[in-house]
Amino acid sequence: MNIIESLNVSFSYNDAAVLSYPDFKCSVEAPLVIMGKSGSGKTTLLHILAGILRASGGEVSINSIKLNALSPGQLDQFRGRNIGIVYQRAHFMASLSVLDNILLSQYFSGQPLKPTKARDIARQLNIEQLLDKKTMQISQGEQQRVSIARALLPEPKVLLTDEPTSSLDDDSCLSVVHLLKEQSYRVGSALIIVTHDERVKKHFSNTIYLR
Amino acid sequence: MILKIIFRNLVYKPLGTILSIVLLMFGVGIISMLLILYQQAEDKFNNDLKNIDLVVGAKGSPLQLVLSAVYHIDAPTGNILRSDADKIIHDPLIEQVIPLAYGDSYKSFPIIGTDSDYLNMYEAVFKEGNVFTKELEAVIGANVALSSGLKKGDLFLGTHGMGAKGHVHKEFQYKAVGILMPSNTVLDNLVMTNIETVWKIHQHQDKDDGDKEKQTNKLRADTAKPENELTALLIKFRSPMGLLTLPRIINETTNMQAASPVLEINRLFDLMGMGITTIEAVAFAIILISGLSVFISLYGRLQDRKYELALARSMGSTRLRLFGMVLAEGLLLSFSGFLAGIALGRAGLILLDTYAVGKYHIKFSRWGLSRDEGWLFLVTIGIGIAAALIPAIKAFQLNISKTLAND
Repeated sequence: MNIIESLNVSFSYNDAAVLSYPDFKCSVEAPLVIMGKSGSGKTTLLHILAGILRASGGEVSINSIKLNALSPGQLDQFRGRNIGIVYQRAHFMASLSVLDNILLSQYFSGQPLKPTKARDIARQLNIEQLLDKKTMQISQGEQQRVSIARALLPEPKVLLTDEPTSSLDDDSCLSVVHLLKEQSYRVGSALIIVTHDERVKKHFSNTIYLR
Repeated sequence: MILKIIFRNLVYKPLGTILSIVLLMFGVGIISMLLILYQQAEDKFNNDLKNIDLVVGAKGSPLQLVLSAVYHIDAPTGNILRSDADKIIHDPLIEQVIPLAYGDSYKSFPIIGTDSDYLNMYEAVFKEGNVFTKELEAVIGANVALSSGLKKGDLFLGTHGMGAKGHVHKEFQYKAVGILMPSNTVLDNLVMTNIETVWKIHQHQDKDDGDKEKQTNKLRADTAKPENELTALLIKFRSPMGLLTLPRIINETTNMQAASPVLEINRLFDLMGMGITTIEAVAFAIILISGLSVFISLYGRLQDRKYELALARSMGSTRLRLFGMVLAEGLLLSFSGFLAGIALGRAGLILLDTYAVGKYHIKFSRWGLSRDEGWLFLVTIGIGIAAALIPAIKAFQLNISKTLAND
């Protein structure tokens, strides 16, 4: 079952330089890789899919709900409940511990906090021993895992990841790809990876290219 | 969780937070202390003033006369002749006259010659014993008893004048016949005896130091002959008419002066008020600066935290929530600053209290928030909100897509 659908989506900054995107669908069983070079509007598309930016034309629907039909406040809440995002560079609330940073996604999406569940996910991602540390004290690879855990904790319908492998060596790249596939499937999220990293696509059958 | 986030944010980069709180603390502390001191001084002064419409004494500064005769915190202007006093006290407009005669002191507390009306005027209540009936019997005020340990039946010696090293009248022993309960009036700091006692001791003293000091101390001449002399009269009128006519008669036709304590004290408080207004203005400036520092620290932190806020939005937080979060940080800062300031003010009062009781025989008390402090609270919180408003609006308007893309 398709969870996220994109139809005729286009975007323009200041009415100039229109970006139009190919149509695509994505389900839990069939994760999607969106390939594109720098400047091809990858991050813009990711923001449109996440409801952070509004498409100028066309529509994105998640679980048959059209993002364009939601008010800004509704969109914020919808995003919190249904969309998990892993950014290219992990960012955190530096004043909070790793555990609290993971719980933030539940907190901001308005769900009751479940530290036990957060610990479970942390165990799956092999970062359980880091939970009491501050986010500045852990390595970049670990930070990425923490942000994956954070994105998955509210069990989103869609997991969007932005260049998750770009700065990794081949081994790490492979393990992150496996991790993302495995964990998003376990939680029941449709996985979309936006990247320019050619190494990623061979692990997925579903790939589209941005021009 | 929201409290945790706010609190952690405040303590994560503590310097700006501490600066804001410390500035607020000093501003609020100074103002709260001033408010209380001023209030208490005013209360106390007015409390001691009840039933005294006019003070009559020797010519000199009217304020000095009031301060010495009503509050016993200044030297008397001099003495007046009993015969002069007798001329005016039979005026039909006068309801009550209380004579006061100064002379000695006991451990730097004044010994006042007067009559029992003086005690009744302040509604004195006896802890033990009763009022003086004979010469050399004395009633002891509560603070005097506390600091000297005098009990009913104890004998003690008076010192001539107010200095601690004055001549001690060894031949005359006072006997404490009554100890007063604390009344929060001037009585607390006085030893009271009858007028005849003061006359008797100083009549004798004339002979006593006449031989020794005749040539050396001519200046003493006016105080060294206190026979049939009084220091001041406290007058209560039957009707306000008295206040209109009698002071003029006294000031113009006798060599005494009449002063209205209410007038003089209001004048004094007006003068003090100017000083207090200045200090208050400085303290308010400190509070304003602390508001600025709250603004700078929130705004600066906002720049560092843009990404965190964008992150919060991308995880489902609404704009309004972020707005509230930043505003709450400002509120929390100003609230802690206010609490710290009130604590500082109270600590200052305690210090002053221990110091003042010993030195000025003044006691301050009061722990609850006064009404003025309620206003101070509102002003402080208002400044906190105003300082947080612009950063909060910035947080509200944050373009999360741009912020997230610009990493």
